[in-house]
Amino acid sequence: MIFKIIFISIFFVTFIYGVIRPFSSIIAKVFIMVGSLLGILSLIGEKYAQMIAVSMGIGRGADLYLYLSLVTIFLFISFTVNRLDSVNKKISKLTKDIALHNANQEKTKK
Amino acid sequence: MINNVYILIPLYNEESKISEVVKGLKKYFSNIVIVNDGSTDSSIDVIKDLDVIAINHLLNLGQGAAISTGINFIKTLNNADAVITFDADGQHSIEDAIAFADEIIKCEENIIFGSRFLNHRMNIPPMKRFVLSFITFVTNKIMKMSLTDTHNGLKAYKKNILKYIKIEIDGFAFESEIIKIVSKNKISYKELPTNTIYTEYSKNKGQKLRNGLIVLEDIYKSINLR
Repeated sequence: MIFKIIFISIFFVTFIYGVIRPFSSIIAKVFIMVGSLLGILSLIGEKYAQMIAVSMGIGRGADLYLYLSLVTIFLFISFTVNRLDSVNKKISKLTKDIALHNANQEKTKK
Repeated sequence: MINNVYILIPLYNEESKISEVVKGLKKYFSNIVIVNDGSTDSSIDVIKDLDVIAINHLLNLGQGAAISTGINFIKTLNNADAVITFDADGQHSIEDAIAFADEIIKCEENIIFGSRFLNHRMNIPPMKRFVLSFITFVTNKIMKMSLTDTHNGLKAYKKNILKYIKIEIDGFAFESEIIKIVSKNKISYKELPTNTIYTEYSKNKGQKLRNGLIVLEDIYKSINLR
């Protein structure tokens, strides 16, 4: 029972975080809110999760969560890789610009 | 002494070789630009004592980034008519650089690609020859080019086409991006043979064969860049 309360609390906090944090992407906001609601649902109403799974053509509620987890992980990896690429490009541009700026200053001094 | 052709050397951790390479080139070329790409050894201290223009990347970005910075610098120079890219590890021969300098000024083509496969094919270690041939085949097919060696660091560019050379790939697979730029802008090119010197040192320092896969990935990226 104690673990159930802990997990419900975690999902609840995540849901509140999704509601109040100003996300740049609305998809990320909805994703966190829906994900945490489904998490709470899986803990307090297993039969509802089962019903949703059946209505979506998935046999069991547990499978629904497994698929959702996999999608979440892949999306997270994909977003992270894109973000890293973007940061790398910025760092690269900055490094090259600093190098050129310093070289041009040296050239002017000579 | 050649004054109007600049030598551009991307440098990363070559403290033991760079001095020898520069001294060899200095006998024939007055202007050498070295882009130190965030070396973690004492390369930066070594080049301070040499009569070269040194540009310093604070971080290691990759060979493509170093070439990009060097080209962007040389673009702004009034006395440069052409630029030759030359490796820092002593693999390239100075005689080839002289031949490239002579030819890029005389010829009508705007870029000269070096090729290890024209006259000195058998100097290339067999496995490397196989991988290079495969990458060249793929690159030629995708970029609609007819080169014999797509990943040779020794190249000569006329200054007037440097404005097209905007390199976005930081790693060594920028070579594919240059080929794409040449193909897309229909820049005239030719190939000259190069005699790459494969010493034990350069083999250990050089591109690992697994990098062939990264090159293929970067070819894919370069297709999607513009």
